[in-house]
Amino acid sequence: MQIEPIKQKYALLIRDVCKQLQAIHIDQLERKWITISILVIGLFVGIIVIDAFFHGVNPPSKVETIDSASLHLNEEFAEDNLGVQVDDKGNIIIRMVAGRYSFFPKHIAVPAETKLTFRWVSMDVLHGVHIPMTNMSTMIVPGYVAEITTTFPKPGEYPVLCNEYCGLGHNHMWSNISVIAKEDWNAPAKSPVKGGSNNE
Amino acid sequence: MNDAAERKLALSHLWVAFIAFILACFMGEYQVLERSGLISALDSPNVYFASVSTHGVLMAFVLTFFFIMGFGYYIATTSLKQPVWNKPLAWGGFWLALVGVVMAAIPLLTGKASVLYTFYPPMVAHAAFYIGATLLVVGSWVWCAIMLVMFVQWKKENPGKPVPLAMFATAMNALLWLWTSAGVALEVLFQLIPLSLGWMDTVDPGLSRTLFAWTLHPIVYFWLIPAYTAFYVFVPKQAGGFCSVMNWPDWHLSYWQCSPCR
Amino acid sequence: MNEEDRKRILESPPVGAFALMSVVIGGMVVAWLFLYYGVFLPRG
Repeated sequence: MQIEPIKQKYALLIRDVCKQLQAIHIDQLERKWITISILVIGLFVGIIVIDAFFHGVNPPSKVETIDSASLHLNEEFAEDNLGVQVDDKGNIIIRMVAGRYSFFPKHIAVPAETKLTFRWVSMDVLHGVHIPMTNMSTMIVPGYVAEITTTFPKPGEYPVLCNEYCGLGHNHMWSNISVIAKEDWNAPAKSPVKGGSNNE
Repeated sequence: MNDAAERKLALSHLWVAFIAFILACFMGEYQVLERSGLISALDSPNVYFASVSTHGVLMAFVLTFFFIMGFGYYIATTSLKQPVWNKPLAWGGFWLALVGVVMAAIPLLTGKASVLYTFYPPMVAHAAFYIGATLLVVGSWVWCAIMLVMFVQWKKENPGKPVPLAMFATAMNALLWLWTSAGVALEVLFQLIPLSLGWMDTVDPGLSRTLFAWTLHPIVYFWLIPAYTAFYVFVPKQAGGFCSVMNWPDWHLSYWQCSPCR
Repeated sequence: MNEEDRKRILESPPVGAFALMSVVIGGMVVAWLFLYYGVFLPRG
């Protein structure tokens, strides 16, 4: 098959389309409206892109699978490894299990103004978790680990709510989290941390 | 062309749409009452979530699809001034969609399909729900095909002339929907129906949500473009607009010139 | 309405539309910036 005639045909086609597009008359007023729209969009996209590349403000992005049907056998999410732990580098990692109808452990305490890494798994169906007044909000998909890194600026008592339909008891699915002032928080005395993300 | 057969086709769709709408409205009222706790005898998660699921399917899929299809048939025939292509097929699509709705309604109303209108695997509903939903989507594909065929037919018979704006928008909406609906079709055909019939034991919910999001995000444009069509085409005309006020691109002007005082 | 009035209206720029547009778009930009810098980023 000869390439040259086909390339030429498409080159002519593209040139035709460009000429047609240039010939479309755009009214003065439409021009103003389009310019303003593009400027506003450019402003928002620009802020988001700069913050993403230079200040690390990104949506959480990770694909990490796990066998949700046998969590209790899993090293990392075994019952005695759940909750708040500090690893040897000083990072605070919180491992939570979502299941109908609560989040386990049901009450955890974390320090304010400190980088926290949450790792959520589901033992049964889709759940969502949202801690109001914070950026801790994600969907928990069975078969995957949802990892969110954030900081809680304000100390206080917060509920941990499920915001994705998970069955007839969904409306009553919640747990508690205490955010304690940095100076007052004590790391829980625990055995060495088992398993975890590889982002340290 | 807007004679009796065309009107009957469009109106049948609109009737189904608005009957679904009023039923869903009553369910919404019940839901508010149940949630408010004012009448404790009503407290029932079973009935509540069955209602939420039915209400969601009626509002998000039945009202919308049937209205868009009826509206589309009306626009196609009036703006192109030609009869609906292959009316038996159009009616076939209508009945297929309606049978699908009834088939899905039975498990929905009996609480066997309380998975809301976004399906939420690994929770599984009765297979009839998914099969009914599939028939509804396939019925909408019949409408898409007819819109596109009529678009192409008109272009062939009117070489060089721009398609009337309302039909252009409707045909593009049909094209948009064909691509958009592929996600939920794949999810239902290859994951949810096998799962609900017991042919598969496990499902990857990450894949299901991704496939469903393929449809769920742009479906709002499928819903929105008919409203845009009405705003851009019908409202200015009804407000008595002049075509000389704004120098619209040629394809707008042609439409105005083609359709004097309707 | 006489001819000169009609001509004047048809050919004058839509001042009212511009005013409304500026207010709405300005409001939306301010709201977005407030929510992004004032709520989202401070929440960590």
